[in-house]
Amino acid sequence: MADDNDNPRSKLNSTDTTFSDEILKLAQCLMPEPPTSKVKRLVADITNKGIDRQLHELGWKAYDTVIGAANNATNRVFTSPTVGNVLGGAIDIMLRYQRFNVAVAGAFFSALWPAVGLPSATEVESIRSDVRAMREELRDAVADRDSKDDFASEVHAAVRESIISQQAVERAAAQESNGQAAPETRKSSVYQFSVWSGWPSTDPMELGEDVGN
Amino acid sequence: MSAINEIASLWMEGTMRTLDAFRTGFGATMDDPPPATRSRVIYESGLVRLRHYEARGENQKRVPLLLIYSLIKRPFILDLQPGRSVVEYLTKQGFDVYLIDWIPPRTDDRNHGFNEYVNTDIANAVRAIQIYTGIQQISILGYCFGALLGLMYSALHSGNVKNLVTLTIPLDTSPRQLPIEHLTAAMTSRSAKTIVEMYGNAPAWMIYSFFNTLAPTHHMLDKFVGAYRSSARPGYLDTFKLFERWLHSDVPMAGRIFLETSEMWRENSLVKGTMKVGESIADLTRIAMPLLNVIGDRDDIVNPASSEPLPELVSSEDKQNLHYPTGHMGAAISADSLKRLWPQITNWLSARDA
Repeated sequence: MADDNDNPRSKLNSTDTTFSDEILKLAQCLMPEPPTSKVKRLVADITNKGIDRQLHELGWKAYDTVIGAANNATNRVFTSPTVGNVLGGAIDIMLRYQRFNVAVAGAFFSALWPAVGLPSATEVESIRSDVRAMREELRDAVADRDSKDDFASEVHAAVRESIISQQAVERAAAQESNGQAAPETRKSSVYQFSVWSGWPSTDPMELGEDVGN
Repeated sequence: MSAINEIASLWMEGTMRTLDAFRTGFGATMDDPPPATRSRVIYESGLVRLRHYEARGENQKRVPLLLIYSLIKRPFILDLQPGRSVVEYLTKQGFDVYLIDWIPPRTDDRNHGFNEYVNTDIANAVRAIQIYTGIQQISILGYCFGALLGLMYSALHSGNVKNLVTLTIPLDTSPRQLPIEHLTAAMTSRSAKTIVEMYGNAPAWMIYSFFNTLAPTHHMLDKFVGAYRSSARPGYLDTFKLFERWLHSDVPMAGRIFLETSEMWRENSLVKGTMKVGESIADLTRIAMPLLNVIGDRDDIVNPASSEPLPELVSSEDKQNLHYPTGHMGAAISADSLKRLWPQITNWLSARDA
């Protein structure tokens, strides 16, 4: 169903119009509107919308082209050997200059800061980074508390024990090859593993073999 | 007008996030978003926190899978949100997944080098899995720098590794096509030494700035415009914000490994077979286990040409390159990769699970 507002006859009732509008509306009223013109109008609407879409797509295409060109230009700059050499040299100079500044400032102020009871910037930065890392560790420890249980520390102990055993074997072998008697080493890690509940009943690993003696 | 307002709002939010990160520090573990998959910390020592994600489903696999993530960002990108999580996908496929959640190095950890990371931290994590599961050989899946660490571990402790999957590994530094390769090459050993002498570790802000410098237009404007253009897609903005958090999750790189890495890349020593980890040479020819080398063809962080030579350098008989049309991060989080790339990886692992 057509909306009443689309009907030119209904627009004749409107009072808020200009003279040219009135003439146009009169002309439209005098001419009967065949169904084909309605279809044409619909097609025109669709075409207008299509143009909008096309414009929209054209805009994005232009944007993509500009970005593509910018990326290509950047890549060319970075892949140029001359730029690479200049950049490499600049980084080197900048770092050395910065280091020199830090050293000079450190040397100059190092005697001054303690005199007034203040730490140096490097010390503060070092402490800040360590405190940050410790806070993260603490946070992790709290976060993992639910998932990480005694089992993790048991695995840790078992790994540690197996490393110690392996090192003992290597040490003993080295000493034997030097013609010395092998010292008594720790008992095999099998014992360590066997007391651990949850340890697989069969132990196919070389770590579990009697490597201690 | 509303488009400009929305883009401006996204831009403002992003800029504030960056400024806050510079002010309060990048990559604090406390800033990790809630995980999508439940985990249990089964081991912690050195700079390793080992998380276990239990396998789900009926078709459970025998061989445990250890994920080794890169050192310079937080690993929550692998478990970003339900439906967009590599860890979730792997556990649903029946893999018992273990993830090395690297503890960010402190000033005291400046002497942590490849030897400490590979021969102590990863070695202990593997040992913990062996003890935990009772299985001697595990599968390793390393992502980016984590793939390098996994590769070195596999070369030095090959008896403990059943299968090796390397994802976007920055191996061969001889190709020089990408901006990142030129910028890395531009950094002299003297600059690297100065950084370590000044800061102890390579600071997180420096790593963040380095990666942002590579694509300034993208980071300053285009990613926000892109977010606006895709905002009608359900859930897109949530993922975008989580991804942004990950982009700001840089962590410092321990001083020694930073120096060793820059030297390794300068000399291309791992490819040449001269790279020393501790007292031993990380000889890639000692790698004889099945190897799957996954390469992102659109990767602009790790040149595909840098990853490609790996199968030629190892002595495995069962080895292959798997090319996939994705970017560096897309390999881990894009919906397409989860639908098409990861099934190929899990099928490969499943076929070698016995």
